[in-house]
Amino acid sequence: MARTWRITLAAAGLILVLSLPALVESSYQLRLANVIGIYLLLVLGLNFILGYAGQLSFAQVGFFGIGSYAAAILTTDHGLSFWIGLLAAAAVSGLSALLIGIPTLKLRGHYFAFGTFAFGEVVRLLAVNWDTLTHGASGLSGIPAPAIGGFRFDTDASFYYLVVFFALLGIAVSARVERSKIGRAMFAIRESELAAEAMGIRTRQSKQTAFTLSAVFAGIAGALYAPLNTVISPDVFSFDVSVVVLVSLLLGGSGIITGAVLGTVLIVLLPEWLRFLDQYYMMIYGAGVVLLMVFMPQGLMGLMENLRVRRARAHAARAEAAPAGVGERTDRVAP
Amino acid sequence: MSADTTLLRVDSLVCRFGGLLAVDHLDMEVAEGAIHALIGPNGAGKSTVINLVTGVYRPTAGTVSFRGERLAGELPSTIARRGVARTFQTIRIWRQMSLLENVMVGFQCRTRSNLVDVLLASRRSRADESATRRKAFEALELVGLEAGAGRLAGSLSYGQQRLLELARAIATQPSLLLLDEPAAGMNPQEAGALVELLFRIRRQGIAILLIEHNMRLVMRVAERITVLSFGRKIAEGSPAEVRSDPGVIKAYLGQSEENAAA
Amino acid sequence: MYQLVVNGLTMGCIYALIAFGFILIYNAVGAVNFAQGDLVMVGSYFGVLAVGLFGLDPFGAMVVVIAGSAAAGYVFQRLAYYPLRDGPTINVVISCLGAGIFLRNAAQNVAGPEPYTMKPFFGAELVELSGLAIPSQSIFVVVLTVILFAVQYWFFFRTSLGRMLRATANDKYAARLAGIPVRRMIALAFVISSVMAGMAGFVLVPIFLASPNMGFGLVVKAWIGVVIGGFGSVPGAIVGGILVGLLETFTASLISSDYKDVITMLVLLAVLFLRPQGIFSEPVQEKV
Repeated sequence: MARTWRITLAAAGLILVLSLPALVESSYQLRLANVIGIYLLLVLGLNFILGYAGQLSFAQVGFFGIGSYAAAILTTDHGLSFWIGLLAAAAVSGLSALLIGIPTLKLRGHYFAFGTFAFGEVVRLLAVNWDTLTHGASGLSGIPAPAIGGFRFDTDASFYYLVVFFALLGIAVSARVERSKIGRAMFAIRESELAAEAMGIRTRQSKQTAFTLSAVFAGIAGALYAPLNTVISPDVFSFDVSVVVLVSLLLGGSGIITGAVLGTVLIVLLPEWLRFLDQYYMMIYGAGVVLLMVFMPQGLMGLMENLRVRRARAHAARAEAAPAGVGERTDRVAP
Repeated sequence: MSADTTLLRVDSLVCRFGGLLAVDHLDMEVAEGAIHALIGPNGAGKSTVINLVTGVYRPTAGTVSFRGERLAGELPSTIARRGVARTFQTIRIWRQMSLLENVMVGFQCRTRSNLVDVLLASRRSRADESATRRKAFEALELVGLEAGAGRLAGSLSYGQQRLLELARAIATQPSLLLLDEPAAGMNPQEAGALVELLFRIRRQGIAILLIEHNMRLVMRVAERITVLSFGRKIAEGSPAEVRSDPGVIKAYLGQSEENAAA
Repeated sequence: MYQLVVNGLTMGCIYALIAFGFILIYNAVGAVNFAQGDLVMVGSYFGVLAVGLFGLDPFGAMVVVIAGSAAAGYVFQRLAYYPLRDGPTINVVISCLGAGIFLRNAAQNVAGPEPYTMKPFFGAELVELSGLAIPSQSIFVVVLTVILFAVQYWFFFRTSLGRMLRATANDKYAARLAGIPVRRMIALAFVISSVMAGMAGFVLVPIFLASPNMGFGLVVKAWIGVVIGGFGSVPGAIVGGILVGLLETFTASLISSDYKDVITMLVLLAVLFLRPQGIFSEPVQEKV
């Protein structure tokens, strides 16, 4: 696909995103957009540890909850500004990733996944029981809207632009990491950790970096969610959130930024479009996950990428004349 | 041609997997800048030796020393950074990345820039990236794969993939290169080109320890040969010495197919 | 004090049964089954159905539970595992996760979100045994668990079918080369695993209630047992499961009921820090 095509598409998308409040009819839809933006940060975060480094993680909800509680406690109980809360959310989540990562990243294969799953549960239990800090089961309410100087982000539209800012920042950071030595190291680990180690990559560190990045993204998402919802309770730590984040990434295409965006949009909007399914939606959702893994494990963008590669390869095969290296297989014809 | 400094030294190395004794009290030395071959019938423990040296397996007993320092229980990545690079018997290139990217990963352990540098797009990270790209390209040129460096590694033929793994290992700027059957599946023409490549690598000052079944290649390239059978050394010396050793001939009698093909 | 041991042992046996099934699947296909807890739930519901709807006695109900769980296990692997058998195991993990979601919500749609309960299987709530009052259900659970594990041991170590299954779990490729029908063995592994889970679910109902989301907490505890006991190790899973049951009960009583889960998790983290391979270490090293 020509580069100009991609740029125009991205530009069009950007214009659409920036003018959304004007195009949309109800504040409910704008709220959905905000939810998409916040979820996108969660999904982009997961993309580091799962998409790039290839480690299945269910920790996103745990970091999300930690971030939202950190922000909520600092802004509501201590009257600090949203920005301090945001910084604290990112820092505390990042630190948790370090604490959790040290014992769990040495677990082989999917035991790490289960460890992250257990982590989410622990944090939820802490939120419920540590009354003095977290207000227990009732949680915190009256979380104030963010403000810069005199301006308060207390309307759906103004908050939307705040979310868009962070979402775009998240995309930029992801793109930067993906193209760098850090990203390459993670891709290497995903495909063959053994080979990565043999080439001098400190795989433990690399996985930890991916994990910490995923946590920071989730923490920031949490800090944004707190004022959006104005209320935070231990319910925020529902395992379903981690599953939704995972399915979004897989549906769109794991390891691909545009995949993360596409998947998130679809997963948030699907229940709206399929409202008529009522209580059967979750059942179909579960079955859908199985079908997704059977028929389209590389996701929508992955599928497109495969088609593109296949077309390019067919193209190259036709034009094949380039002399390859020493090891080129010659035909088994007598010389 | 070999210098008198010992680069790699293996002392009384033992590796046991449950009931199986894979390496039986092996003593071996690889000199600086040498081309040293490790041969033996299938199952003799040759790949295990590479895995022990590179830290993939932990020895049951004995020591491995590199440049005089013991490599005791270090991570493979640490050993690689010390200057010991390797290729795998079953090719382990990263098929979803391009040729250039595969080899860039090899070099990048020599760069200093970190996550912060990357996020801020600092001068250091940009300089490192272009240096990495350049070095990777040079390594590809050395093995002859520089054309179409942007292709996906998975699209290469088997022999090309072996060369890619070699380029990647070279990109780590090693002093010692451990090659596990680099000529496997190559026809005589390709094997001949590999011999030239190995000499080119040695001219860059890199010592080579190579596991091979292709005897013609081994005889042409190696200055010193160690022969293993059932995990223990049965002969060692120059190609001429090893070729005429009765123990070696006996050990290979059951492996006549490979020898006939070489 | 003895009360705590009895209660802890009861829950421990249940965790051990779930952990066993969990390990069996992990050894056979290399994937952690997030839906293991939901298979427990399926067993409970079959039990509730048998007793509540058909009015069967506990033993009759057990037959229903075994049959139902076996069928569920077979269908589960056929749909969620079999199509993905040649791909990366991570896909299997996610697929099982999706299947679990389906099961949970299907149960909720069919039977409603309200939990079901059953009376203890054998009449009187408590039984006098050398001066101690022990819940009759606990005795049943422990006895049943011992029987099940004895049967399992006999099957795996004394029958040729069991040997073939062990061979498959140990090394799929070698087993295939030896002419073992690997696909059928894996299906069998899922069926056995599901039956163990179902039995755990069934005996759990009088103690714990049967509800659509009951599997969630259970599978976490079982997994902790597996980690403590040692990856890939069957005796480890059993011992680990029992230890978790005891730990949980003692913590709840002696320290705090609210924090018992947190403390269990902390013990897990401690084990991961200090002895990550668990009590019975993993036998196989990755061959390069």
